[in-house]
Amino acid sequence: MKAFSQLYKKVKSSVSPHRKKEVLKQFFSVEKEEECAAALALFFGYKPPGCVTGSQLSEWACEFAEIPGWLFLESQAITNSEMEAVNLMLPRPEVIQERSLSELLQEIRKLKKLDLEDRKAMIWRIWRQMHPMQRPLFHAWITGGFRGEISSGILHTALAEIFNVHPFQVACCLYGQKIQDTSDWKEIFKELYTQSVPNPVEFSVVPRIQSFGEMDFPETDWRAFKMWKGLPVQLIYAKGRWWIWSESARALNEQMPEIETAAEALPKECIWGGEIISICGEKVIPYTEWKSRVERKKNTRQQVAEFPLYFLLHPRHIPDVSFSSSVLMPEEIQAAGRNDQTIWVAGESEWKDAGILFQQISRTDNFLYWELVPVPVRIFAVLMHVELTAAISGKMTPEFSFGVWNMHNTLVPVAKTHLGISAREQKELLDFVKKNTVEKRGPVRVVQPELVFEIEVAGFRKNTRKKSGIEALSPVILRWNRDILAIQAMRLHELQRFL
Amino acid sequence: MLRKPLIEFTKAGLYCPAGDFYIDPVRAVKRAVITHGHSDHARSGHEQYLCHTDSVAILRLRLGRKISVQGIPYDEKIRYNGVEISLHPAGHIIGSAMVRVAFRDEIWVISGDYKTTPDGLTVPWQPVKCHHFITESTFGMPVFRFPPASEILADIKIWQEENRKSGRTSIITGYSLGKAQRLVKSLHEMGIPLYLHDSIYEMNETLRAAGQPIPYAPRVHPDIPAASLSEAILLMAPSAQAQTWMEQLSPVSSAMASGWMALERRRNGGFGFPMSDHCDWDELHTAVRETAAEQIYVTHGYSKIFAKWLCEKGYQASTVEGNSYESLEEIEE
Repeated sequence: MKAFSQLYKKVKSSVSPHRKKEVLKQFFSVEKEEECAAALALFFGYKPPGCVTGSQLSEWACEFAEIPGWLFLESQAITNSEMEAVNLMLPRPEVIQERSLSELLQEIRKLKKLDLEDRKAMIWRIWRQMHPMQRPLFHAWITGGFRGEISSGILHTALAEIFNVHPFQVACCLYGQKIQDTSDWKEIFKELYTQSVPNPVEFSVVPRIQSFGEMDFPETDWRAFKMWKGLPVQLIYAKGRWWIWSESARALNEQMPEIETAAEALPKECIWGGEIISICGEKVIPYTEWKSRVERKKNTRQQVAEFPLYFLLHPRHIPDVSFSSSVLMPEEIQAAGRNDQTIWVAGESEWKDAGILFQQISRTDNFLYWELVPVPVRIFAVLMHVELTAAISGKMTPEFSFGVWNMHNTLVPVAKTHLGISAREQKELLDFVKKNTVEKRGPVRVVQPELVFEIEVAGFRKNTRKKSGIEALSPVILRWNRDILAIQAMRLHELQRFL
Repeated sequence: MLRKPLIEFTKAGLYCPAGDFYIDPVRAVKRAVITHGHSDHARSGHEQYLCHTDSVAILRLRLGRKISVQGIPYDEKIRYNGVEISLHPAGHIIGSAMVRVAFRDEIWVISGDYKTTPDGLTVPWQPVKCHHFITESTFGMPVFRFPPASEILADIKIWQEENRKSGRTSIITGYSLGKAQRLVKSLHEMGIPLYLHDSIYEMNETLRAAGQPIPYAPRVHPDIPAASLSEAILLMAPSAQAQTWMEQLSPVSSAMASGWMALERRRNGGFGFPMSDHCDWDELHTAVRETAAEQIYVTHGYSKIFAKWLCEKGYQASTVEGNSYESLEEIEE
């Protein structure tokens, strides 16, 4: 249990997928098989049966710690969380008795069968023996509030590196298995080396250019494809079904059953690379709007109806030679489920509305691709507020929010970034923030709207959740314009024309 | 007729009218008794300072060499206008003291900042019996129950080891006076190489020159190779994070050592070690009980809540009224 609680703490406190993967690898390589099986079950969605409510638990904790109700409420106000207040206010046990993860999960299952008084007595007994660091997990389990906190992609990758196979092999092996904390580790992975599953091909990274001038495009040698910026996936046939394999090492079959069905029309001998896009009527919906379909394990009927998904074949994913009996060129295959993908030669004037993928068709052995991306936009915006300790890539960094004037002469935020500012300027800015804070909201400091910055953004998109209604894509601070007054910064309607 | 209290709570700080001196005053006064060298207790502008011998060097470093300061050892008694003053170990930082003020048959103890658990560096806290006890309550809430230092140090070692393996520089931020010296001593004993940021280095060298048993650790500078830094821990004051040369240290993993790190929202998704030089909830109770005071006054931090709790437990307790410390947003550890 100690090792698992440390693992969980590390996984929770890191935003880096690489670090999460490394700590998982370390855990699964070192720990006993029964501990590993229990941990895997928890990360794969096994939830121990909840047996107390949060308020019951806090009541019992107050009684245990001899804390009156009013003091608990004051404590809760400090932690901003009922469960954290419970975790922290329990006295430290005099003698700590270590339990294994599987033992504790078994005890929790027993709790459910007891009546309320006996449950309380058993929880008190566990509190008297449990290390304080393990309490948050125990409480999350018994109240039913436990979340795995880890994506299946990271888990697949970590396990794949331990077993020295491709993550897809692990995903295929684990898919559909009902993994319990009592499962046998060897039994879970028994199919790993016996199954006949092809490996996906590499998801390629396409070099980016911003104008035709940057590349020498012979007139007839290149073909242009419109990039819809959907979700890159590969369709792989294995174990009697089509797998929708994402770049983040996840199988998305449950999220996209219609794609699995549509894939039935494809020849099974090759791996099909492309992107999943959502088309509603004649409009392609940006990925950010329908990504909830990917994030949720199972989609609601409403989601499925709202965001119909299509698989758009990419010319750049050529089937793996060792698995394909035929190599099909892109124009021979249309999108599965929809047959109106346009393959066209782009003119310079047309490229602005979307990214464009160029394929050098004269090379059949090794295709060359370039992605043409829109030229970034430069805007002048006013510094509105600063989040002093934003956790970005595992580092605590100040993050700056910038706004422009709307029609009521009020600033509305449009961009938030920590990029592009030198350490010296950052220090100067933080000094300014110290002296000019007008409001504090947790780690956020709202400052006097005085400073104007030039910001480079890749583009704008509509976002109804933002006060301004638009959102800047990939903003980077270019420079601090000390000679421009805040009132001279750009206005919202000027930005809206970039949409 | 009611007798005037020996200690009055004034806007300038705790005042003893009979002895005509202040304790940790917040405004410039003629005579100030200073509990310890943190800037929220030792302020500039007073005519005369009285503090523990070990605090003299700290006060001179922070407030200037020209200040008029007298240092006395623990338990030595001196008199101002017949009022007996003595300093007693507070266990907070080097040179920290609780002030015992006795006049006629009345004894007051002003705790300043203190912790009851020994840290291996400062002279351990000793309870002082009194009639009136003025206690701080920085962490006077039941959610603050700090783990033992040995456990925190073991966590630091694991964290540093992981950073080392992944080629990241480990940075711990902590106050340059107090936390920094504790960490230098403990981490040195654990065999972890250290580099110190300027303010910590200067404070350490001042204390070492004054005879404090703090191990030497070198000052960090931009020419130190990244490989050497990732093998070590860099100790840094919280204010020093945005310096230009920090850019060269990337990738880094930083963590703060502070009692506030017990709270998840203070860690804000990052690393933190709940190491404090203040009493936690249990220690505050121990201290209040062992002074056997008839009247408790609570200041700094969660004073109202802690005073209310003490009243419920049967103590005569109230907050220090009109104390301007209460307006301080964050108390220096």
